[in-house]
Amino acid sequence: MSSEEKGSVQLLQGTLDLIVLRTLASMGAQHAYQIATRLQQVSERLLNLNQETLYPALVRLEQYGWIKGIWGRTESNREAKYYSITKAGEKALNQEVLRWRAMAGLVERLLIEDFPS
Amino acid sequence: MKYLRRFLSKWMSQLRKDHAEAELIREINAHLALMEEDFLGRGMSTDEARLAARRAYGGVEQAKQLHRDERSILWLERLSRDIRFALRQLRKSPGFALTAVLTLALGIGAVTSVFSVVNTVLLKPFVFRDPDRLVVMREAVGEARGERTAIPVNYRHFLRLKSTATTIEDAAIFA
Repeated sequence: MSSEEKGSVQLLQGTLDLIVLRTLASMGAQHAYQIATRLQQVSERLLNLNQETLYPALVRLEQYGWIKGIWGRTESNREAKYYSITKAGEKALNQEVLRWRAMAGLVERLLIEDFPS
Repeated sequence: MKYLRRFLSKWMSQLRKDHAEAELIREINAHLALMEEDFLGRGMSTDEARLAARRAYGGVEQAKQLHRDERSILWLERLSRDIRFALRQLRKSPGFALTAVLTLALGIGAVTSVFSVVNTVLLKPFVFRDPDRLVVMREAVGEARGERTAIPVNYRHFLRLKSTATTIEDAAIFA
């Protein structure tokens, strides 16, 4: 699980917020461990997200008012802080998605220009 | 908007630092417990599961520090840390502290007194125009001539002087 693992990708700066928002929007309220697990599943272990880096993102998003954490109980009756996306968060997610698409599209175009196939 | 919100909640967490810290520890512990449970379910022993959870989580202390940096106002945090450190150092060496305080006191005192002189003598414009034509008048009492009289000027005399005297342009009185 080290970050030097072959084929793993480094998370692009600023994309973690988008990923977390998207996960919460599609999966509903989740606790940090669930988010981390989900990200690993989705990325098929390509993305090596250190759990410790998830926490700053959660604080940041909560401070923006985009997500809200509430203490709850898991199925196995353990306590966990469940984060859910807020109205403002959904709006922000839409904007972030647009921004991401614009950015990704730009990079894609540049790559195609440089290496015509 | 989002930055304003964030700034406000940063202030809040600054004020309720202990609460934020306790909340974080509670959350990390819950996280570790959940992981442990998962690992137990995969057939690990209790100790193995605990270790594996810790390992998978990464640095708990790093996580805490990242969390702190993210939720607090960083410059304020650093400033207060620096001030606390400075105070500790000063308490540790009172001789140095005393020397520093005396040096500062002397320096500030000297600068203040020099400045007040410069301010009144050089910087502030003189309150009367044409200072070279300024004279000071005193009242002398006939009976006490020759002696050093220090009686105050009679205000009525001043008023009459101001309105009738032709050798002076204007007059002001001071006590």
